[in-house]
Amino acid sequence: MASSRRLAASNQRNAQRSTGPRSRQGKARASRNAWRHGLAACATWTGPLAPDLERLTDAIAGPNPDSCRRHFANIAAEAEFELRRVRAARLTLIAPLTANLVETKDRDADADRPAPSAILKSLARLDRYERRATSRRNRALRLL
Amino acid sequence: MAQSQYVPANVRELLGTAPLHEGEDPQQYQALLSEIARTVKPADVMEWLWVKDIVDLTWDILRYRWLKMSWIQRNKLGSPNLSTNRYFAGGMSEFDATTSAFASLNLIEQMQASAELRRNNALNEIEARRASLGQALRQASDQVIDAEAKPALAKAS
Repeated sequence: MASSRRLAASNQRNAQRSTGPRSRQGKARASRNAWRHGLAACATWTGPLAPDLERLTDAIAGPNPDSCRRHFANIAAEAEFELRRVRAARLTLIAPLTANLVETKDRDADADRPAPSAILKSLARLDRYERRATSRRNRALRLL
Repeated sequence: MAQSQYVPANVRELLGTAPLHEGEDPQQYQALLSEIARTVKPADVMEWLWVKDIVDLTWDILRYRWLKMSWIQRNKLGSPNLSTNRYFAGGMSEFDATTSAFASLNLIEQMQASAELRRNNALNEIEARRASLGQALRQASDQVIDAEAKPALAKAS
């Protein structure tokens, strides 16, 4: 059996040989290894959705809001957009589940699709993101 | 005025798209939104957001009910004759497969219960803000769920 010193040395040698991806594309790919649906991350509403968010914030805040009212209106609008993102993610799971239950009666024909039980587990996991976004929005709305 | 035209265009834009998938009927969804909105007459954007919540969650509850029924039919969970001897291709006995199907059914039940809880929470929020709106909304939403919104789900099945 190798001594712990030899083991440590061989570990060190192996670690030096495998230092992860080196190319820019490889690093970009590896940086998303843990990504599942992106709903746990804090979304930043820039790009094409920014004007929509601004419009909803204005509508919630009402005419001539003070800075405090506008701040909470913005939080509520962001949470509302987050809620829509979760609902959209849920729809992408429900569609294949429905197709699986409706279109095919034959178990073998479903081989290429994800198992319905696996889809159901993923759907159930989305629940907490929806609860979180709803609570955040409602808290902000209550303060208006 | 047609039912789908009850929601003003500027509000419709703020509420975003209907959370429906391919097999579901957008007109049925709009009809439900209009029906509930007509009953409660939301006064501002905040109330419109809650009304949209109630509609989405009512739709979710109906969708979970349909999923539950389809799941029971597909997995023959209504049948009392379970055999421990027959094996499916995956090496799972019929008994194991049924147990697994019941676990999934339980998940659907939990999601439906969660949607009902969120719908009630949304109603409580509204009730706290405007008692009359909340009561009318609860009544309208309960009526729709009791009637099962059959046309929308019949189309999906």
